Amino acid sequence: MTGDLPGLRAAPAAADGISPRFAELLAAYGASPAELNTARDLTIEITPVPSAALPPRPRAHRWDLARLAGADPDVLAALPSARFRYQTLGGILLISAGLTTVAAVLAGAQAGITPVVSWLGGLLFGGLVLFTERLLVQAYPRRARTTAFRRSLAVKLNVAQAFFWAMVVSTPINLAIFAPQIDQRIAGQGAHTGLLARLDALVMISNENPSVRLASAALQVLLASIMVLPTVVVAIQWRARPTSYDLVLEVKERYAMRRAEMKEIRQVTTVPEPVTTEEAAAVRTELAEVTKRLTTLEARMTEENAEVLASVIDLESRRNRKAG
Amino acid sequence: MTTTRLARSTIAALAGAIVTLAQLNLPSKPFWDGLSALLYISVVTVALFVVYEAVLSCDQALQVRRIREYETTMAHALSAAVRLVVEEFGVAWDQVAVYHYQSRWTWRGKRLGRVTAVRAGAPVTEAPLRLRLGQGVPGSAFMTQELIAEEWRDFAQQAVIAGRAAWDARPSDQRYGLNWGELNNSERPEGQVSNPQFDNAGKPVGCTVVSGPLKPADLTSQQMRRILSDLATTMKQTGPAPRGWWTYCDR
Repeated sequence: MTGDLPGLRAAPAAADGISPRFAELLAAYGASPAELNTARDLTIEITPVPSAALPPRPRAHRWDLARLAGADPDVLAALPSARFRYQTLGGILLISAGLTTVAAVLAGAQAGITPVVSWLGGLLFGGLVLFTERLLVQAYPRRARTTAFRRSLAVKLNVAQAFFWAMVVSTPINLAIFAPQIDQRIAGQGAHTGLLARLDALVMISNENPSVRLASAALQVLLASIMVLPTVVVAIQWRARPTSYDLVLEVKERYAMRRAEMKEIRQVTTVPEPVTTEEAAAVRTELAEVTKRLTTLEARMTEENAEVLASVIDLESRRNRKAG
Repeated sequence: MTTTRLARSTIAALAGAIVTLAQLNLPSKPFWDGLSALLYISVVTVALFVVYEAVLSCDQALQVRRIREYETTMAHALSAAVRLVVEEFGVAWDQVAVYHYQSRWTWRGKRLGRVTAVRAGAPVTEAPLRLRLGQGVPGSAFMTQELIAEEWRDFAQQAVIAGRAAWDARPSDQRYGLNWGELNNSERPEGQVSNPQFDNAGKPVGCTVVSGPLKPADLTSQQMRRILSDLATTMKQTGPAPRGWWTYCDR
């Protein structure tokens, strides 16, 4: 390759023969017998190109944040912009769940539970929050058949859940923040030092001091905001026009349903062996015909599915190119 | 070529007019008495013109079968290349074009003449019919005898944004031998790759260009090299354009 000159430069492609596919295409485009004979004489065997020499293909990321957000890694492999969006969403879900875990561990510590058990409980709790939020985020499909009522219900449920978890999670954090004041109050009263006593002391301190009440409320709102963030992100995406990822997924799901229906028909049309009478043989022939047609239909569907997916991905790349 | 033909026709018309006027003694007989040399020249010119046109027509009539065969062979090869590019790189079939240029002598010197071009079965009009050696990606590939791949749209857009002064300041080989007007008028496919072709003696005789929505990885891939090799082999076997081809194209 030459450095100063523009473009990518290499040794010329040699006139070293014709690939079998090129010869086939010449025949398909109506080349004369003389041309075809020459092409056949010059046809060479093509050795497969070593994979290292080929440009890297997009690889499905099996374990990444996008998968955590419930995205299909195979579809995302061909749609880099959508992958970034889902990775962000996965990150937000993870942060939200991590915060819950920390809060649960803190609560365990406040209650005097051993660190190992606190961490185990915290992780379980964090996992529960993660999967619940993931489930709710996935309840926002951007499909034509999903009604506004269903979407709205999912949003409301998620917001309610966020505030509930924020209330639960903020309490141990508050206990930890105001631990000196709580200890002082408990010592002054000579009461029990259990979790309940600490909670009572926190309530009393909040009632007496508006600043503590404000700080607790602010913490609760902050946590709720973090937990509601995945919903906000998804709701914003939902307001925008469907992305190629949504379209591809929609196509895949539709074809999956049709395939399932066809599989069912195929199972129903199977006749138990043996069939001996003439009438039964005729039925069997008809069924064989139906099965054959089903196979053809399935093949056509698979082909159409691939074409539609390719068109959508092509559309996305054109859109990106225009945006670029 | 149009200028040449126009000049030839003008000379022939002038010579014909002179001979006719002399035969009719117009404006007068004494007027032509001292101009016998001009009359001889005019008669010879008219005769040459008639013979030239007759020979050209006869030659074309004799060559027409070969010309048509050559044209269809080119169309088959270029169409097959378009199809292969679409299959290999999954690009839109109506955005891929394949051109074939051959070197030829014109009255202004040696040039690369566009033999034929194919895109989606429709004739391609944007690519220049003739290129100076070193002009454009095909001309540069021919001159340097290298395969050259270029993200042409980006290259041209950046150059246009940078402005005329920056373009003119570049050395000729860094602007593919194009002047500012040629750059602005050039077709802007996303990518193009040009492969020079050689005769049996190893002398460059032409080049093949593939253009379309192709990324650098596509342009320099082994698959693209294979397609260019297929084309190079076919063109080498087909040989140079037959006699009368350029006249046929220029008409």
